[in-house]
Amino acid sequence: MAQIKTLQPSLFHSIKTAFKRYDFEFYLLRRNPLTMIGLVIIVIVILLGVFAPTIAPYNPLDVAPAVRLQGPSTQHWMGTDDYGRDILSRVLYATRVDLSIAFSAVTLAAVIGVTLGAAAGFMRGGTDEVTMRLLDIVQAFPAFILAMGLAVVLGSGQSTIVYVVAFIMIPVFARLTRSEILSARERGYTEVARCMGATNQEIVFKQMLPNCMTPILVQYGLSMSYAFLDAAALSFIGLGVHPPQAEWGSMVNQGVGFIASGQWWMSFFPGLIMAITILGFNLIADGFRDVFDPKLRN
Amino acid sequence: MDDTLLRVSDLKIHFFTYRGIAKAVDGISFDVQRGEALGLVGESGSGKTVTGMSVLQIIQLPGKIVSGDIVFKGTSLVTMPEDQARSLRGGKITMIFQNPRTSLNPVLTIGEQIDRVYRQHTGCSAKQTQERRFEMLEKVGIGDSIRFSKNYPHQVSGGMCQRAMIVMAIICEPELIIADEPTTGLDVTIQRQITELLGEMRQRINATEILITHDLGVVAETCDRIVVMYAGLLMEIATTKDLFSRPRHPYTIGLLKSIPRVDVDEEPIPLPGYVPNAYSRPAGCPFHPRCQFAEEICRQQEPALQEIEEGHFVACHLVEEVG
Amino acid sequence: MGDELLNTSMVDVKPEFPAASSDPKTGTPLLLEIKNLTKHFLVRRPLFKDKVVVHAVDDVSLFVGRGETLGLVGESGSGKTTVGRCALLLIRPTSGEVYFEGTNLVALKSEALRSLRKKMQMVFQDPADSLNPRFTCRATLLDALGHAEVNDKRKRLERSVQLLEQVGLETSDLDKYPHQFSGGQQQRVSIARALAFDPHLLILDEPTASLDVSVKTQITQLLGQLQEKLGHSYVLISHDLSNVKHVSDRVAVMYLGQIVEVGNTSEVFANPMHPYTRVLIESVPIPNPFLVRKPNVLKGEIPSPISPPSGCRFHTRCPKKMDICSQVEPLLKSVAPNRLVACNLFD
Repeated sequence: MAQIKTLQPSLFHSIKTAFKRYDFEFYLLRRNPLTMIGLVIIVIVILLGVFAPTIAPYNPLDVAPAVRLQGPSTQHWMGTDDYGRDILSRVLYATRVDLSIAFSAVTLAAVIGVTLGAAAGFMRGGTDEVTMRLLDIVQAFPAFILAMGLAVVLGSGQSTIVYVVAFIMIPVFARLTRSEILSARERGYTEVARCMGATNQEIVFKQMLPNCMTPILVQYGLSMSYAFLDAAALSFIGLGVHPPQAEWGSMVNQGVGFIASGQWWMSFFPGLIMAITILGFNLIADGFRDVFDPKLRN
Repeated sequence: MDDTLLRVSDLKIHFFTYRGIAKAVDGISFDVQRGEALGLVGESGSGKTVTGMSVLQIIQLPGKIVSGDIVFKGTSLVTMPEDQARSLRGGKITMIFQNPRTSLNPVLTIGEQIDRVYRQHTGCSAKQTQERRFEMLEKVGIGDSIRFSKNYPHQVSGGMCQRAMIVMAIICEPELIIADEPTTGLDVTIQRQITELLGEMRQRINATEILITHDLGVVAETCDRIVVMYAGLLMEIATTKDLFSRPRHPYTIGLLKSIPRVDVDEEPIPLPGYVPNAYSRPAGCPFHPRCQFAEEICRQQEPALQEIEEGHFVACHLVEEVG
Repeated sequence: MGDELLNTSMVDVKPEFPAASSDPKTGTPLLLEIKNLTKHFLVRRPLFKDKVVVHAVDDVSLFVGRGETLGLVGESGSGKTTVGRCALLLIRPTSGEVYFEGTNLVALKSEALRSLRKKMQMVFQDPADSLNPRFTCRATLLDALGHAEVNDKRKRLERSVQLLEQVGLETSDLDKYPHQFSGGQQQRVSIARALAFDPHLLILDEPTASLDVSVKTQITQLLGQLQEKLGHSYVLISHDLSNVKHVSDRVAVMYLGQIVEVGNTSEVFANPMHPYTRVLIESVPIPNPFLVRKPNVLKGEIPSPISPPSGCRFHTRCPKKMDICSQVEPLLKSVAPNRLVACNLFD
């Protein structure tokens, strides 16, 4: 009988095993160069956000009226805004704000949505009906209008955006999870778990959910793009992040008034980086969607 | 007298997938004589179904016939243009599939499906086709053929669906019928019905049959000659009586010893090991990892098919010793 | 099992019989006793706005002693799979009792049921389906051992290795995912999982049906060896008669939800008494080309369990049908030592 120590897999071995499980998925990701581009973009953006304090040449809140409304130059690569603040630094710091809003909102939506969907799909009957009808109600509203309405009620601010954006994304996660659970219910290992005396919670969370993760992760990627757009849009119309905090949407909003008079850089740069980030997430989500496409799985 | 209906020569069919190349069939050659029932026996991964499908030229990507030939009455099927192949399919060469319920078109009634086959190959009028259909349905034992024709596949049982498939396969009086596991998945008593029916129908139209199956009981009862396949290669070819009374290949011998039987009381002795998958076939003789007689040469060299007695071919380096 | 047992517990079994029967040899309760089990499924038919009753199992009584194998054979619609699931209470019976080691499972509350039931495990037909595709073999076994209340982590690991050895797998297989195993190996993992509970009874639902021919016998032999070593009992549900013949001590033949014949396997196969059993055995293809025979072909299709035929359910296809068969439903009766048959021919 082998030594117990050697039976415990090393961390390296565990990671290797996990990769083996997903080797087909990785193959598909590798096959599509656009997906890799998307991944690179995201990684760069995240790194920019994480290291913003180190990279940013200026303090984003430093007001310097002497250099206001200056175009891109060697001292201010992206120019300055109407308060003389360096746009590059603001863009970098805004990256942190927007990334954290998007990640928080999508994660919150995922956690609540997946739980609701799993409960509905597993228990069927009354729970299922009620949950589905509530989701129907939420989805009956055009998402952004609903978000706007809720933001007005809750008052503007960063945490509001997170809650509001999360709220409008819950139904998608719930429905997705519900249909995955519905098919997982038919699988043999569920019966086996019941045979072994597993409680319902165990069956749903320990046995079924790990099998549903792929579409949920795909949706996570897709939702990130929407989260950025929604958060930026809310800030753009003034319901989001308060000035003087840097945030892409509010920066674009600030710069809109100056475009006509020729100071294009205030809206351009935050808009550009936002577009590139959303593109990155979309490319990854597309790649993940291929992974999920049953036709390719053979 | 050479009455060869079909000749397969050094056929190789490979599947090109993300995991690599699956050599489903890797160089097999055999003949089918007119009028006989040939059993193509093997387990999963043996390549038997792929071989059957290749005769009809219905192998789809990522599978391809990479080399070899299949000659039907002197004409090569592999190089035949698609429109010619299509006129053969369902007409002169037909196929009966496994899982009849899922092999039939779920959105067409059974009557419509049978009619289509007939009209495509004979161009008869609707009325003539209908008459012919009723005639055939009665022959296969369907009582109420009018009502049966209006049913969809999901509305009837597996046995009835298989009868419908049999009608589709013989309605144009084919010369060659390829039956791929026609009774697998059916109940035992229904299997017996279908086996008897198929035998009867075949005799009636004097068709040649290739029966693809893993069930040695069925081949013993219905086939004249048997081809044993394993991991994409041929192991043994012999008449049914020779194969069961004097099996010479270790795989055949082991397989026969391992099946439990209702007529015999002795305990079956299992074959060790697993059937290799098409991506990683062992080098040399594919059976060597499981063979009790395996020697060095078996690990290195693929054995060629030798004729050890008249009509009895074996692919084994040690066929003298094993015998 | 003795004649006395058959005569006392099976014949004239009435629903009022509350207690489990005892094995006359040892006096202890039988391992598994199913009494008058009935399961009807209500199926809604949306287009017809009504509910139909599927008579899956009707008044089935069986028992299994310690260390023995009971074969349960039948074709589709026979109800054998439903009986298996009801025995474990995976499906709740419509009526009837299931006694496991003397306790009526039907009467237990879910908590008590969950703990008692752990000594009965099931091995399912499709191993690829019954193993969680996201769990490694290690995870599956550790999870099972956790449920089997082996609390010490080290002990669980030791036991996992032990289980793998018992089913003929290697320690290196611990970290493989189900899709990396062959069908036979997957089934071995399933069996190991079931053995984690040290069960007294294993219900095997077509355990070799989806395996290759050369692998089927490996698994059957493994199950036999495990039974010899560990002393548990099996209920083998199968449509493969050849397999059942070699593996079971006793066999029960089911047709359309009812038992038509029960007896010692060798005797039933040598001398089947019920017309259905006879035809069933004759229909199995025999791998002997020198045997010349004209097996009887059973005509017709299996009737639907929604509206089973009146009287004897087999009368619509029975070659020995008499006039009363369409009216009188025959009861399971002892017609020979160790043989019960439900047929009007024997009344």
